[in-house]
Amino acid sequence: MKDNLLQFEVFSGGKVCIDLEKCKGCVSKVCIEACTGTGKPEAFELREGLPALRVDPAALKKGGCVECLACELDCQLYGNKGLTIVLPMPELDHYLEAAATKPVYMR
Amino acid sequence: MSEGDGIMPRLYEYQGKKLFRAGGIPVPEGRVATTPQEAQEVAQSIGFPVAIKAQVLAGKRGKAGAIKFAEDADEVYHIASNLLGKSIRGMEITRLLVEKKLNIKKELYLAITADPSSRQPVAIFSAVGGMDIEEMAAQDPGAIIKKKIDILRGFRDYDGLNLVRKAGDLSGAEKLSLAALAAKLYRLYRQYDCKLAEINPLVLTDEGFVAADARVDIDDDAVSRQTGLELEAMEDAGERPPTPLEIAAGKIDAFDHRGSAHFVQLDPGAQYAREMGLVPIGFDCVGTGASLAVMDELVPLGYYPINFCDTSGNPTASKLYRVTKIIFSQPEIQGYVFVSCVSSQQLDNTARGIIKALKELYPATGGKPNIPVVLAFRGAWDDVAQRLFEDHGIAQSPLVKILGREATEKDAAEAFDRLYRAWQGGDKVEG
Repeated sequence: MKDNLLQFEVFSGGKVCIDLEKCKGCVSKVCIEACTGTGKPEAFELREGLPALRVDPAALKKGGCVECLACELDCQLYGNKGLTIVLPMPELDHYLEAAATKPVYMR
Repeated sequence: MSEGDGIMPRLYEYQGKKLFRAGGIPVPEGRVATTPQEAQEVAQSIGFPVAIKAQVLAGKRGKAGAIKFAEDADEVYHIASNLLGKSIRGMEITRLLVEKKLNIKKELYLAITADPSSRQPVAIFSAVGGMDIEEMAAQDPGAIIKKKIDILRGFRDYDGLNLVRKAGDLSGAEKLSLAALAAKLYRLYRQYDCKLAEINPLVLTDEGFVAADARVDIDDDAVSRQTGLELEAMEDAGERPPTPLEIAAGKIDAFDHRGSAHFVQLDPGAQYAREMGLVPIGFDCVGTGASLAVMDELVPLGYYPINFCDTSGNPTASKLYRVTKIIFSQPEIQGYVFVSCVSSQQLDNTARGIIKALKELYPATGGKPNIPVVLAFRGAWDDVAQRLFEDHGIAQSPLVKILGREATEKDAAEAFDRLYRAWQGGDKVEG
């Protein structure tokens, strides 16, 4: 793990990445509050003023992260846009590359 | 299994016969060929006459001219050249099964499938084979014998004997052989988590019973268990191979069973919608009953959902994200409708998945789409779901209408109709 990057994998295949440099400039730290998939803090806690994992990444990958996406969406609205979730779909990517007619959102 | 490309939950005949052979069910000698030359080589190695059978997932192949017989190598070449590259009901023929022609004395029907009403497997036998079981049932219902199977006790040879004993024109030895075959078919059905294991026709030859055809449908929810088959996880598309988008959607539920996201293209390419003068739209519902109700409201207004999608069972937001991107990737859609039934699942998670998808599909507008979109959230956390669309600015788009629990299916369809008409009137948002 890079010093300024906090990341872990999720069960469905994909990754949550937090740019801690951006978090330094974030006032709300809304990701901590947003991560309450079961009504209590799940993946994150605040440690020395920055988001940190409160559970083992292996546990998060097994389903400890419920993939509610709240951390990313709230970070976009109320944070410093430092948290991104990448959920790959290689089969869709291949389809789009080969598609003769592009979908309406590409037009 | 190694032949062919990715294997779908519905197996081709040659793949099914491979399982039959391994399970002790006799099948004709034969192999797959992909070129006329290869077909000739296979025919010469097994001896003439041969049957040449197009490998497509369509029924009634004989009537469609996809099963031919050849007496010599030249005829094999001619037939194979004619079949390869052609299409049967829209499915291109890329493989042929060349196998020894059988000397058929009698055709029968044997299958094991699931009986949804009793929630048990059921063995089905008929002394008349070679036609669809539905046709058979219509013509002579008395010819079909069924026996429900206790899954804990299993299906023994004597159960098979009970099944076939009324077939009057078979000898005792033939009935015993048939009974053992039925028990083997049941073992195969269980071993491979089948939805259907069917031999039609099961033919009686001088050498005994032989499976002249094979239909094996694996339960698509069991794909993760059937690692030995190297099945591709994909949605069950029925009597056609799955589309690339269905293949992509099949990966969503492949091993992640936190809720479901079932996506099937009802009208790939929107040809039917165009022929009927209907506007093709993308569609997602929470609950299949709600899907039908919403479709019933949309179609009379002139809109045709070209896909079915059910995202229920409290799916993760990431599932909604992925399936929404797939729905929007259908090039023909001119709108999108999402309606939840009065559900107990966390609709705020559903909303987050859709919002993330829209924001990535429409980065320039912050998720505001360039086609009319109606979303009706009815159920648990529906207020949060609606508010999220407000917070992210998507609800403010003139092309988006967010509805709550007070909305009916009809309201959702009519709201979409109003948006679509306004859009057609020039109120288009550039994406």
